[in-house]
Amino acid sequence: MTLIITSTLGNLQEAIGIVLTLEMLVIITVIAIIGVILGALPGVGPALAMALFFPFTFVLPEEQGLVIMAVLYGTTAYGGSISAILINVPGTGGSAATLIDGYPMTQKGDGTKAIGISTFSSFIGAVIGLVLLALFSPILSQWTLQLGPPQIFLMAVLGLCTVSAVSGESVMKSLTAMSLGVFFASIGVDPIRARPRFTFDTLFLQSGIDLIVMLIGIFAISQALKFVLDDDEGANEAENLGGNALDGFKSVAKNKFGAIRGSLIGTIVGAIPGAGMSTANFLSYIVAINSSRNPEDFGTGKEEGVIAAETANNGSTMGALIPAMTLAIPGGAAAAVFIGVMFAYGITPGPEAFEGPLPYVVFTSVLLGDIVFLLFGLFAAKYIAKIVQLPRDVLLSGIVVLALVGSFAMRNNVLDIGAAILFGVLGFALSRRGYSLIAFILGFILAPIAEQNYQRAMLISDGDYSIFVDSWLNILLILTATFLLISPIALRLYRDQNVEVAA
Amino acid sequence: MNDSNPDNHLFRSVIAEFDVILLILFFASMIVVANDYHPVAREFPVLFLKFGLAAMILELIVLILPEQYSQQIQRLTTGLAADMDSEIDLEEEDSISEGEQTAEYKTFALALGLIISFGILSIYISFLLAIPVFVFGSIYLLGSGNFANAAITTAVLLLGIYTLFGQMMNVPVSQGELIDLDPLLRTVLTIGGI
Repeated sequence: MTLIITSTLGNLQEAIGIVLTLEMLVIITVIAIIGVILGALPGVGPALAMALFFPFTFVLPEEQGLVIMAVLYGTTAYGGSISAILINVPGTGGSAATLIDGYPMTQKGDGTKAIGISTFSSFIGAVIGLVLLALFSPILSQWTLQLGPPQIFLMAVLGLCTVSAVSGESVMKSLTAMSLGVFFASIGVDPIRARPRFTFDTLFLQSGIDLIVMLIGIFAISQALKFVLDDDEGANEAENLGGNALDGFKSVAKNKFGAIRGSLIGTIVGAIPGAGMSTANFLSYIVAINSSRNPEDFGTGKEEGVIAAETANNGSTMGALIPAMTLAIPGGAAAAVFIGVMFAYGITPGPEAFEGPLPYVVFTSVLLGDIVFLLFGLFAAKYIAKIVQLPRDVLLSGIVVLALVGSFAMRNNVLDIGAAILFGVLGFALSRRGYSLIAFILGFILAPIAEQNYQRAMLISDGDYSIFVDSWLNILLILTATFLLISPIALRLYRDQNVEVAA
Repeated sequence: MNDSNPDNHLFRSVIAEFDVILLILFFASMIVVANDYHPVAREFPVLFLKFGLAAMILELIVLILPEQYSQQIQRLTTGLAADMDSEIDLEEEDSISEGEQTAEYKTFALALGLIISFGILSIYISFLLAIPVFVFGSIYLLGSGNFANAAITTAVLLLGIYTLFGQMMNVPVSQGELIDLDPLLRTVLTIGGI
């Protein structure tokens, strides 16, 4: 334990030395501002912003590339609240609950104060989430050293089973989306013996589908197609904004318990694979309603509503990195992109990721990015309302061009352009027909981990399946996975039975 | 057509969920394709292909059941996050008419056509020449038709793509299969003193 603490402090010191240079501070400031603006653009969001930016980072040194991705990750989530509050359109899915009370505050003439509340709340949520991330992820990563291939396989299966519980749509469709993700991840060669499968004798498919090309297609191209079909109704002009952003600090200080509660809910929910920002955002909002003495006031411009939503939103972005950095299980879509970034830099999630100062470079730069968004949000957020009202056709053109050039840039392969377009169409079709995209992405990311460890386990046990049930941990993982899989049906049947008994 | 006819209702339900049929066919065909692979190589993906096939067959069965059973099963098999949405009054989307749906399909086809054309043009005439075609095409065919927006967006994207991808990342954004803009760009930059 002493060794871990000493090593952690040493790595943290080295990380601070790397980040606190003029060059890095300029990068962090510029990227944080860009991140806030991108997050405020309706439909862009952290995952898309990171997927679009990622190819640019190739030419940069490893630390700078990771810092850019980490700061983007931390600031785009906050940006979504600006458009939610000022123009009645959530910039990200994680700001949908913010809109419910945030925009009414603007309508009452307190828009700037609402921005102040959301800025401070986001900062608190992000910092509490970051502290928990920095505390728990090194410990969890050390614990994973004790896991063998059977346990890692079962953990990956557990991650896949969460889609059943956290989906907001048909469980059958979510499981199907997850299976599709597994299929596409299987294209190429098998992980142990490199035997080709689903390649249809093409060289391109033998190297498999690139994760970032898939993410660019799923997020950027499909979002562009959605832009074309969704109308602009609901987006209002940024009105004459009254109030003082710094008053937001007083409001948050008055509701500190609510702020801490929202941050903790966000961080914990964010760590659940597949749950995502919008689940955390809404759950915290619902808890705030249920704990309030005046629940009927929610939806009319209640400050507690904005605080609950925004603390959870930003807490969840940090929480999502806990399983991502330790187990390669993404807590949400943006964390999935972050895992792709880690792999691309040759950093394998798990104990290896916590050797050296790199994770602390990530934590430190996220914190500095949060400080930048705090200052920027307080003084400049209302001006962003003008920028985020970019015409949709301009946004569409920009996203498509960046996406397709970026996908080509990954391997300088023209077929990656086609792959990005195909995944874009697939992502669009899946989401329109009620299939969960995060389930698809979870399947894509977890499949190689699950399969590799499954095959290793079978090699160790010489084909004997009892290796998966020979320890209490394995049995616990299997029971938890089974429970998660059947939880929607089981819990509803249980509730129905209680209702009948009560009647 | 008489919608109270149960066969009609069944037919319409199944057609409305054509994605379920497509996926059943897809999963089944991939399972057949995988039969030729080594058992170890196919074991894991085929397991999930079968899983997906089973899920879609169950979904299809639920669709063709009488409505009261279908709704009950759908309620039981919706993810738990849906319960959160029901606790908050969210505005429901208005349903769209058939005419509006046809217009939507046309817009989608046009957008997809533009995106695919951009991809193909980029391969043959380079990204730098394909960008203005795509941007003007999108803004005039799908958007506001505003010349200033189209011109500014084109200029910003050309500069950004050339600088970030072309110069910093050495991605061949000015080269296509049929046209190579590099000599022209070098000349222009030399004249410009850059």
